Amino acid sequence: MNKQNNSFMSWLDKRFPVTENLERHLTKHPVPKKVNFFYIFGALLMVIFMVQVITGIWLMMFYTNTEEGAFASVEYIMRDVEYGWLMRYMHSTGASAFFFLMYFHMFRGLLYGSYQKPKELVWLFGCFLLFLLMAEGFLGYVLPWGQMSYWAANVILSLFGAIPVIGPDLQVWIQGDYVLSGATLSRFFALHVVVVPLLMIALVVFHIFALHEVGAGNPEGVDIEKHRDEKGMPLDGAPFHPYKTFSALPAIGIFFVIFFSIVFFAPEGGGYFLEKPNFEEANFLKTPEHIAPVWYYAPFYSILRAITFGIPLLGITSKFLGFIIFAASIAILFVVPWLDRSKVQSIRYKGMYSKIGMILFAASFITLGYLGTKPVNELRTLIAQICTLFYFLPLILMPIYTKYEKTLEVPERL
Amino acid sequence: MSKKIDQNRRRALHITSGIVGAVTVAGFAVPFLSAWNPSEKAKALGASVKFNLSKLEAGAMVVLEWRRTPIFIVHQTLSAIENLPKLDAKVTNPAKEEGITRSANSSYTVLKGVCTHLSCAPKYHPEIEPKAWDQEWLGGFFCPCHGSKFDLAGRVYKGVPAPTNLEVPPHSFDGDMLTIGEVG
Amino acid sequence: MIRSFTLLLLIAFCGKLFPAGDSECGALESCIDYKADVHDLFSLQRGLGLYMNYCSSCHSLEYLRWNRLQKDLDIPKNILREDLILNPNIKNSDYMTFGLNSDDSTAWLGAYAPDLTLRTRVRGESWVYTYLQSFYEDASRPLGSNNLVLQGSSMPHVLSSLQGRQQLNNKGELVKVSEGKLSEQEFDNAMQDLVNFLAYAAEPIRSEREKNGIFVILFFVIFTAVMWLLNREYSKDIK
Repeated sequence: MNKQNNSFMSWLDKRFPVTENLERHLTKHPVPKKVNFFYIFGALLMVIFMVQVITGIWLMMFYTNTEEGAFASVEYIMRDVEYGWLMRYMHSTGASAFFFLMYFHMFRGLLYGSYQKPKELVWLFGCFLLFLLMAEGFLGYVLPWGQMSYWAANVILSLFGAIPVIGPDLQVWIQGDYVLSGATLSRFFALHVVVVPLLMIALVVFHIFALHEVGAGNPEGVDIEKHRDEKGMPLDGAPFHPYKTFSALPAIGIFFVIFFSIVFFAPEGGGYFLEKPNFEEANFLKTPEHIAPVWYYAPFYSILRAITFGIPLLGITSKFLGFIIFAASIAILFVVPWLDRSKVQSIRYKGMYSKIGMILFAASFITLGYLGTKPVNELRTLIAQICTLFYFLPLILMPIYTKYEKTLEVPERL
Repeated sequence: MSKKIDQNRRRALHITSGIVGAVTVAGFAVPFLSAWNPSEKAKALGASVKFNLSKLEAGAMVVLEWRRTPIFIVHQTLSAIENLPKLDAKVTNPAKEEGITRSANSSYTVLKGVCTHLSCAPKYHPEIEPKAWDQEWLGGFFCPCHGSKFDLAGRVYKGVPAPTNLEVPPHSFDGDMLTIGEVG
Repeated sequence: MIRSFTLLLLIAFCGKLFPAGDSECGALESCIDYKADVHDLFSLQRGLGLYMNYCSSCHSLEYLRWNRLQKDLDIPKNILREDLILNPNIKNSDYMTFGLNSDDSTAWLGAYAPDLTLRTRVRGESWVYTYLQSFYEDASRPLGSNNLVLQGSSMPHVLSSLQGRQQLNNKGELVKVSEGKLSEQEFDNAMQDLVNFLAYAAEPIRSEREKNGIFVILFFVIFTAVMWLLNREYSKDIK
């Protein structure tokens, strides 16, 4: 049996490099022996991506992408399709889980310098994935055609209208109508189910290929490639399979325990995963009293709202400036590899300023997230403005403090 | 690396985790496969259809729709009831066990109006007169597509393309009320 | 690392100290907290009774099918047809619209009576429960009644025969001015039945979902345990 198998594999390998790629990307790929729990989010992201794709395909079989039918078809899925409710809750909970894991995965990258040379591209592809995920989430949120779908999309689309000169025409073009309508819904559907997921799959592949070219990092920032045994295996490394694969399995188990606890017992996530107004069909004459984005956009939405002033001298309105700062808050993540001038990768060996900067950044992000889900008042706007400042400052000042601060000696081995 | 590896323990763990993994995959498969069953909406659309027979005269036929299929309901005349057994020799399958009308009622016949050859709709020709397709025609159904012949109870004649009798849908009678799609 | 995490958490929880938003329950300081119980079949049936008697003349349930209701609430088929559906032209698989459409209600109530299928999910169970308790007489309104939770609501106090009439005292609080058929406790229970039924209508699968979820979670606990053992065995190699 084994022999037959081998001859078949060698036949195949001569024509299509199966074994080589399996060994390179799965079985023999060396990964650091000792990492901490922050390093599990990549694997979990792969799992949740698959959950989203599969449940998404099934939902697509029953969903109607028209203005008249969309809302009712979601109730059709919830009530008439066998286990339709499970698909829908898995998909909606999955969206939240996706962002949750993504934020932790990226925070890990920031903490342990997973973007530093030569990993710039790994980070860059990852940032594109965040951007695509945000687009995907936004497009998908419009599809149920509830009140929040409609009005939140209105808010975001009117941002494009804020761009000087071309704005209003651009907004009409994106909407395919003078208002947000069924025309918008249909194209958002196509983008949500085909275009963006395809791009995401491509970028996931790029992300992983790039990662396997430069090697996975570790919380110490030690280069495991430096010390190898006689077979060329890094001394501090272990083959991906079975060590990394098997260590991911219990984590996947824990993840599913939490995931299904939400799916079965709190699918609305306290109104944060499925918002209350979205159980009412879109009504273009009646704005909900309080438009809140889903929690995962809240930090960025807060930044958008915090900009209550424009630059009249340059003819920039507060609305447009808000849009610029909002876009910058995501764009700045892309350039982090070139902002960090530190000699060491990991926060463990960086100096005080880096540590303070990271805490300020994370704290502002969380606070902004909290504020984004609440109605505005003067105090909250002020806090959001301060937090916006402390979101940007640690990143903008990074080239200065990372260059001059004192770092600790990184050990040779893990 | 030098420590001894307990191969038995590993084998046991492989088997256990393999079983758990298989159960996980199967568990995930159940909802996804079940979702392809007819939904409540499809069931509602495919639910039984009722028809009041009191206004259907002897010799007349009505066509109902059930699950997007035409259903022929024929009120047989007395002469038809007499003639039908005479055709036993001419049809491929006399289907005597189904009774003369092939329905749960001795004077009505209920058929799916779909030719068993290539799914055309056979035409109703109750007249007892020589026809182009049959000089001794005693009434029945004729399929214009490929010339299949059926008698008034939907039994297929020998020597035509259709292989089997017209299908009888599940049905039940309650006085004058005929229900199609449910067996009483 | 641990220290910075504690700090992060502290900062995150500072959010809790910020001023709370406006009350969801209109003129009331807060809603009466109520979480629906969809597992109590008798309560759901009583709630259905109340709904049919007091709500169904204006409010439809446009996403709930009669036969789903019959199956989930364990209603005998003949009772469904003879006591609930009544109209012989309505099929068991039809939605519970009671022949209503929004135009009718616009005509005679002066406003649109919303469909109630998803109402508890739109407003929340506590809101609906509080709303049902908070009607009072207000001569300035066209139908002579108002509601503390939804000021200017055009819905009349259809339950006053059960609850008794209520008015506002000069502090703006609700006071009973006549007795209804039910005692205060009985009325509270009746409203709980009604909200339970509405919560069922909003999500018919909820009871089953909450019952079965525990098995799925238990399975993944076992999954985790087995995989943990497997991983521990292999990680010995690379210690």
